[in-house]
This record gives sequence, structure tokens and C-alpha cells, in this order.
Amino acid sequence: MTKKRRLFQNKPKNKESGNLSLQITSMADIFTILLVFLLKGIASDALAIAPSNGTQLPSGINTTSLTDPALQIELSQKGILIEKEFIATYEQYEKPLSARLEKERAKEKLIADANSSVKIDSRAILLSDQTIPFSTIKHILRTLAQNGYSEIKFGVIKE
Amino acid sequence: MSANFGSGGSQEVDLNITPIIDCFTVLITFLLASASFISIGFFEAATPGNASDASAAEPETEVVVKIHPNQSAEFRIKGKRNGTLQFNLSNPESLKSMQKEIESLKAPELKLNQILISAEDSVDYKSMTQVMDQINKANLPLVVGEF
Repeated sequence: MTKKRRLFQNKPKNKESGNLSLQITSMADIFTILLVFLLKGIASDALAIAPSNGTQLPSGINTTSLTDPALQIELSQKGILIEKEFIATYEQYEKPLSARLEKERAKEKLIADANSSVKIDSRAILLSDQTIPFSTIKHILRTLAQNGYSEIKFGVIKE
Repeated sequence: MSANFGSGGSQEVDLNITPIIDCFTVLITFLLASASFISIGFFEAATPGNASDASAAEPETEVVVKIHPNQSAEFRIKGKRNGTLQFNLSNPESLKSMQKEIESLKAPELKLNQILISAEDSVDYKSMTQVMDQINKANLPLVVGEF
């Protein structure tokens, strides 16, 4: 028997099998890790604040976290949104903005009158696109102050 | 996997993980769709003429920061210390000097209780937040508006 023949003698022939078993144990491991990561992400951010599509917030380092909810005002590139509802464009926003803020304030007063443990909130969250000029921001801050919102939280992306 | 049901022999119990994978797939799809991968932080500031500060004593030192469109910030200090300082927001060295200056304003003898921030009309929100970021590092209260 030649050396070559001896080498290949005991090699098993490949048999064609009709069954293909899918190993899903490793997929279960990956899914478990993904799930734990995503659940942890939800648990750590108690209050979900997110700008709408197209609003690019500037970044900041020395920021504070938000612990309590407040009235959310967003200055997107297209216009002003309050609590994710589009109010007006930047051409004519004074009246619609004032009207909406008065409505929100009236709602809070109603709740505060009905429930003595609830106090009127003077806080507002401002999420502004990074290109919005100060001329617009100062008018909005003035309108907010006129409607009792004197503590403003300027939102930025945490670095 | 095997289970022993008393004396005499064990039985093989196969764990079917297909329904678990189905649950995981649905859960993960839902969480991915609802997850937010950006973290938002905040700079706290007050508007001018805040009623809660009406009874507060007049500050002995007043600092007004004016941001200009050419990426510069002007600090006007009045009171126990007087002067005007200019910093370039696009120069890292200038930003470090600004930070040092803000820290020096915290000195107890100056009795500074807030910093007023204003800007020219064409200055964008990004430049404003750059200055607010530096001032926030020193934990000094901010007031934003027109001064």
C-alpha cells in the first residue's frame, strides 16, 4: 500500500444529508445582551426629551440633567413647536405663541386651584436649532417671561 | 437537559427556545424603534426681572456678557471690580483664559450672584451655548435676555 493510499484510506466520505440544523443558542445570547442594553437605556433616562427631525441641537459639556417635566418649546428650522405641536413659522409667531402660552398657563392654574399640592410651574424647556438667531430667542424669552415662565432650561446634546 | 423524577431513571427534557427568540425579536424591535440614542443636557437660566429675585439685595458686582457675531464674547464688569475683557470663542487658548476669568469672578469679596448674558441679534444659538457652557462650569447663575 502506497503512503498516499494509507493517508486517504481512513478518510470518511462525505454523505449528503437532507437535514440542516440551525444553531440558535448563540442568537439567543446576542438577543439577551441587546435586550439588557436597551432596557438599561430606558431605565436610566426617566424623562424622554427628544427634538423633532431636522432640529440640530448644539453640544455642551457642563450640563445638568432634567429631573422633572416642564413645558417643552422647540425652535426648529421650520417654526415653533410647543409640546411637539406646530404653532407658527418665524414670520408671524407672536400672537399664536402668546395664545398658546396663555392656554397652557390657564390649564396649570385650573389644576393648581383644584389641587392645593400642585403649584404653578415657572419652568420651560427650550430646544433650539443651533442656527436660530438671538433676535428670535430673545423675543421668545420675553413672551415666556410675560406668561410666567421665568426659569428656562436650554437643551443641548450632552458630550 | 435531564430531570430526575424520583427513583429509577431520568427523563430528557428538551428546552424549546424558539418562542423565547420570537419574544426577544418583538421586544428588541419595539425597544430599537422607541430608543433615543442621544443624551440631552440642559443649561439653566432665568429671564430678566424674575419676580422671585425681587427681594434680593442689589449685587455689588455686575457682569454682563455680550456675544458678538464675529465669535467674540465681551465681559463688562462693574462694581467692586471694573473692566472690559474680550475673548475669542473659536480660539481654545482664549476659551481657557475666559474660564480662568469666570473662576476669578467667584471670589467672595466680589459678591457676584449672577451673570447676565446677551448677544447681538445675528448671533446664533450655538455661540450662545458655548458661552453658557463655560459659565455653567463655574456654577454661576445665568440670566439670559436683552441688557
